[in-house]
Amino acid sequence: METQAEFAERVKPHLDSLYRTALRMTGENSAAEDLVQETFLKAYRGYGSFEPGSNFKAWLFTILTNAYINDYRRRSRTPVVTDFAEVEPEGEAETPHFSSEDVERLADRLGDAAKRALDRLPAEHRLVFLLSTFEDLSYKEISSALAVPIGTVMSRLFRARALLRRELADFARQEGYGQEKTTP
Amino acid sequence: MKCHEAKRHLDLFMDGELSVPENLKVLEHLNLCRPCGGVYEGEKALRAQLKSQLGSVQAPVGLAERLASSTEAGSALVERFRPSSPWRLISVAAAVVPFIIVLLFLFTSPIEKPQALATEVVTMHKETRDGFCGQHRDDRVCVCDNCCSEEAAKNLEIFFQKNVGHEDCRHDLGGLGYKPIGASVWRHRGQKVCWTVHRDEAGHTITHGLLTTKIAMEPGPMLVCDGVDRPVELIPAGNGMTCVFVFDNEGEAIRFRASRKAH
Repeated sequence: METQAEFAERVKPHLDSLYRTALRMTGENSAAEDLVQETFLKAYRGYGSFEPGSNFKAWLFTILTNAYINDYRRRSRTPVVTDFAEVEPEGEAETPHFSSEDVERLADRLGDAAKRALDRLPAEHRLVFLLSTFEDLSYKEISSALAVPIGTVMSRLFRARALLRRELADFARQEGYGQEKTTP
Repeated sequence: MKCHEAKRHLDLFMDGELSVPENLKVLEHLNLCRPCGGVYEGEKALRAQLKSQLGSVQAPVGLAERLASSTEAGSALVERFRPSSPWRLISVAAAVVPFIIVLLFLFTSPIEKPQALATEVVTMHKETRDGFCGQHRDDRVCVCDNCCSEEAAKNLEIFFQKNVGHEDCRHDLGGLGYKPIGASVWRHRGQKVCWTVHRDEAGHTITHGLLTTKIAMEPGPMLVCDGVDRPVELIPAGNGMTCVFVFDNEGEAIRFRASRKAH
């Protein structure tokens, strides 16, 4: 087993990734720090189960995800979010797409609108979206981190993106831009 | 491929999750069909914008130290919610302080041991060597099959300039039969590194980058093989930087060294 110092050194390059995911999941700086700390301790204690040669970052996210679902959410008594299927009916409804000009025009304001939209996503969908979009984990890695089949990862990601696009399109309309196109 | 198929596959394409033939089909359609190309450009811009605004959050200063002090001996500190007697706190502090000092030294020390760095770059080698092409993201450029065209070289040049300015070293490994297939950004010790991937016809891969890390070693190149599962060549590059090459196997590393000596 690596020494504490070696382990801390290994985790350090992934600290920003762990923290920003924790922040988007908990919504608070101090809670995010606590979640990262809990993840770090669990990772250090369970390092014996890490398979050498596999993706270390993905393994850390597995622990962060479990810490969030099993401990943090239970402790903070966050209410169980309505099943996304109830919010968003199945099927390929029209999905709005932004043009690059729209994105350029809305640029700075998109971040806050996206944050609000993300916070409205059920935790499981948000996690998949964050891990894929911001942390570049493959579907396979997300599937193993969340212990769900790849098909579930794909459907959660599809729904998360569809809802996000729709929320951002609403925001664009409110801002006076009605340029977004819809796919047939 | 039809427009509706291309759009249905767009997310998978952008996530780098399509098989090579499917990937090529989507790519071909996006190049030929202007409306779909426009949708792709819009999606790319949206992802880049979200990534720069939401995906660039950094951990607070001091979190690394806080974590370092919370392992084993210091784990009592984590249970800070429990009321503790002053004596208990003092004994915990006495146990933790030496660890904090050692870890602070390790985190701030400018000189690293070659083996620790080699282990890290090997991970990066493995992450970038497979499934690299077809992943068109803001932080990576893929030149794939058309590696030697003028446009591909220009794209790579722009990518380097955008991400690390001119302070990077690039190597032409054409003499060894390797062609550049792309590069991605790697945030190493808070610094952006353009991590380049080269591949030969047999599929052997060399990855390379210039790290702003000083290595504890004698001047001159050094091959690290012990304790890491891929050979790594480290070359001090002045200004506290180290030029790093990672190979798939020892044969490739030896071939690379022999060819450099010949020059």
